[in-house]
Amino acid sequence: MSKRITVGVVRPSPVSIFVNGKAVEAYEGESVLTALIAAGVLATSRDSFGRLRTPFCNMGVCFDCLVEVEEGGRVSSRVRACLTPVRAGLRVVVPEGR
Amino acid sequence: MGASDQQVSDATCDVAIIGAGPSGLAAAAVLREHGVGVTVIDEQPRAGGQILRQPPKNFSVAHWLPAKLYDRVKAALHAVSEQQDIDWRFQSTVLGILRPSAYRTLRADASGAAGPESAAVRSHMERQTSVAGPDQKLGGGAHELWIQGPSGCYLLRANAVLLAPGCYERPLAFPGWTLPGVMGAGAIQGFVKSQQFVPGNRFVLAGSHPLQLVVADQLLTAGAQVAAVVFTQRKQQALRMLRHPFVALRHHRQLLETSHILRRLRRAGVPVIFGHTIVRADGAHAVEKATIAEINPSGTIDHHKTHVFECDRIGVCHGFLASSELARQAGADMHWKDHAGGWLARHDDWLESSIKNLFVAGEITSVDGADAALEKGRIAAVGILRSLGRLDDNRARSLASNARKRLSHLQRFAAVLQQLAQPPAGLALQTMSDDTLLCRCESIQRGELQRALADNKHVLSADAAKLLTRVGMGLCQGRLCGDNVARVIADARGVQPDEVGPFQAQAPVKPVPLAALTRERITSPRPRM
Amino acid sequence: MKPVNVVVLGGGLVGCAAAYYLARRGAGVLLVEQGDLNREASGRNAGSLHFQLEYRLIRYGDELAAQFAQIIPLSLVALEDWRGLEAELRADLEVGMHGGLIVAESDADVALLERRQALQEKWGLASQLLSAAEVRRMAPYLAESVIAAGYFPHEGHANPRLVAPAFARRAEELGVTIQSQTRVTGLMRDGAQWVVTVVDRSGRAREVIADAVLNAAGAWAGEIGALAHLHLPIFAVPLSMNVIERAAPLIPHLVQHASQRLTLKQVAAGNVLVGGGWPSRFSREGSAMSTQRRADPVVENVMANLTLAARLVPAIGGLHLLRSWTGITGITTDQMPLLGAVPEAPGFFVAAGGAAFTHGPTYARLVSELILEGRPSVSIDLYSPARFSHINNFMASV
Repeated sequence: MSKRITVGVVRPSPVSIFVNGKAVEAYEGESVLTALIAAGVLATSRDSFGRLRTPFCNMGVCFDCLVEVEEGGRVSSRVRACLTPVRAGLRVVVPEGR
Repeated sequence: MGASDQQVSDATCDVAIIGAGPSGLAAAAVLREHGVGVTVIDEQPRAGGQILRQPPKNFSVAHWLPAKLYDRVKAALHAVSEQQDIDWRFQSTVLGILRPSAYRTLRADASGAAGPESAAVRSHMERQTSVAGPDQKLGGGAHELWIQGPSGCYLLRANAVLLAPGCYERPLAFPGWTLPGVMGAGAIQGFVKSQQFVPGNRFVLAGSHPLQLVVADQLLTAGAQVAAVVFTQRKQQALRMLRHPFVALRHHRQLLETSHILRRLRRAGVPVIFGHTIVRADGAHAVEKATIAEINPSGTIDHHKTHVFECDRIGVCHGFLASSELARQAGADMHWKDHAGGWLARHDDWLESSIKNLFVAGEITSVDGADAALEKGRIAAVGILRSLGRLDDNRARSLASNARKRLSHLQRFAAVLQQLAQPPAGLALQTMSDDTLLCRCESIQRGELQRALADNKHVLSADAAKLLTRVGMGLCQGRLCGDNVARVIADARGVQPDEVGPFQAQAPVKPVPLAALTRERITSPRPRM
Repeated sequence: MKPVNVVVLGGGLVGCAAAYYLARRGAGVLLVEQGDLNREASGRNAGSLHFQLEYRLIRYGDELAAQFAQIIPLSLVALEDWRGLEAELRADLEVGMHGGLIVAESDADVALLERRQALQEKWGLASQLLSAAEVRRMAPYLAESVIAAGYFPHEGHANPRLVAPAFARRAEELGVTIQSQTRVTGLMRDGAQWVVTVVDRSGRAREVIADAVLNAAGAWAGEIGALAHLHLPIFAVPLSMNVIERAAPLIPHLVQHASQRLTLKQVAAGNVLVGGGWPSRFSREGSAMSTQRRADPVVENVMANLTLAARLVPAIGGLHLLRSWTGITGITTDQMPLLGAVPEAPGFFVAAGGAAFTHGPTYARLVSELILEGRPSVSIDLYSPARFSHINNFMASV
């Protein structure tokens, strides 16, 4: 399991984001990708054969972490989860199933 | 794009710095001291580059990156990161470095009442770009950056540009490398450094770059398990280079740090294995185990001598590729140096590229590490001041002389490190099996490319292969496959990878959401007649 | 190697196809390409198979449109050629001919469609004018702003990446020699033969003797003409294209706009290609426009092209622009192709200009018939370089 480092780290109070509609605890400012992996979501997209794909670079290069993000009911296109900070109430859509 | 962004669109700045890593930060400090307006653009939410991926602003982290190797870059970061007279543009992607058009570029409405044609077709000539200057450099000097910011796309005109885009990991393709849980070692480190997050439980690190020792150490400190650290180099070979008198005398601090790390790993029971390479990752839906195999003295993998480690994450680390896309897109002269980061920008003494007032610094000139990047940034900044007429030649020379001295020492160390960190020649061709995905984005297997090459013997370049097979056509635009594709083609044709060329880089150098390009106009539909 | 009967200059679609058709008729062929095969307009266009009159042919008033409509007979031949091409080449070229829509968003657009349709009918191409409701039924992906569309059921697209290479592979099987990364530096007529000087990538020069030369150099056809001391009125123009990331199948048709620059289609891999003749900008070499370097994109044209596309097909608005690219194509002074023999230079043939993707295989087939048999199976007199004899009259050595 992945885990957030807590020793010596002070985070703001947790907020909720919604991953495929399910509430997940996250911290404003951390990346959406961190929040996803912390919530056990490793696969953020599918390749053209429909296989689940996981981010490789965590720095905006591989585009394997493109996820659909919705804020205030408005689809704001797909964004690289590794470069997108968490905000309270964010709704994220990731592939379901295997 | 809102009304305010349209204002931004027409803006001109003195110097635009692309990349807020060590080079960009050091250059910003020098330029600022000389009263030059600086705009710094970076994709990340905060300054520091990959070496100093900062935690989110609203986190407080005690003892962030305590190791001494970060001291110099941290000082450079702190010198400018809070300066309000620098125009910081974070979460912004530079999509292209363009020559200013002969035609007036930005118009609020290209499809409006004036008719269906674009601004560029009908609008008047507003300015004419001057052609090649007296010093033989290409272009008129000013540049226009096509930028995707948080609220849409715009153009920013700059009198000079410093391109300091850093580097990314050179990926090794092997069976299972697209399985969830396989990442770059730098990706893992980014989570730890910036997010204060350990993105897994039990890690195998495998590659050729000493960075993986640092990552293993940081993972252990953060409470993760490290199943193994695997180096392609043979141990004797690594030690021989490290005992090089130049390295031993000048860089004992780095050596000392390395030996501390090795001791900590040993104490934690982490095996550090030399002379092996990762050959496959397996797992039902995500990584469950990593298989490594011995590399025999002639550099070939012995698939009979393997070890298997149970793990849920694999970090691979085979050195770095310079982020050369913008330099290539801009048309700068490039050269290829395998062990120094692949395609690198040529430059003069002042780090000016072949294009006038397009300066380059940091890893794009050679992957020499963060401390060298600082010095390059300083030299380039002085070069820019000189080019803009803010400094005469003598003053510029004396201002840059200390940085030049330090840089030359650092580069000698970097050269040793580059040699040491280079994976064995031909490793990439050996780890990819026929059905290994070469191009992740388009799911093109190595075998498909190889068959296309056999059927089309006139295909000699990476671009021609791309056109034929779709390899490199996906979202990452060939960043993750380009190096391996070039190796496969070069091998098939009996030439060196640089003769095969990189994929052509075109603006936009990264994919852009259509919404960012069209938002303004979609919300104001064309009036019906 | 067979003796060379024909040297084909240019390794784009027309050149590769001509090499194939010539070899199929038994000719010995050398194909010379300065760069790599299919790397310029032939491989960099968007693969439209358009048989209705394009916007560029209709936009300059009725009189000129009537003149440009002379291309339609050739289009109808091309339509049949495309139907048989995958079988002929034994290759999947991703040919999809599921119909093309030219959409109208205003009454003026509708009027333009009606005039276009009348012209097309005159030359034997029967298209339909669809009402708003019919458009909606046939193409539910189109925006509400579309109030009518000109529909031709056989339009579509093929994959430009695949067509020229397939011709090249078959040509090689028939004994054609292909030399890429090889430049032509001299073209001289010696009696009934042509002496062609070629320089390969290592700088080695050699002379090739041939009965005929076919200039299939596209935008560079004028430069090749100049080597033979001829003026070929073909101008290089820089265009831009955009490709949007893969999406689920949505758009089976080729979509164009009645009064704006737009072509839009979804290819087999799922990507949506957006183009329509938006200019890019030549790089400069000194004071000259360079056709040897890649043209630079013009950002606002890219944005305007995509804005138009996203307005007509709102569903693509949530996707990413994957890549834009520029390409250089050749346009003749009268928009018609240059297809046939140059009367002032016996043995010198041209096949370039016009809509050379849609028409390319047909240019190649007909010109190869002309070269080897003296006359093509379908008349191409309307497109003959002879219409520029008033220029080359003063150029050729008499």
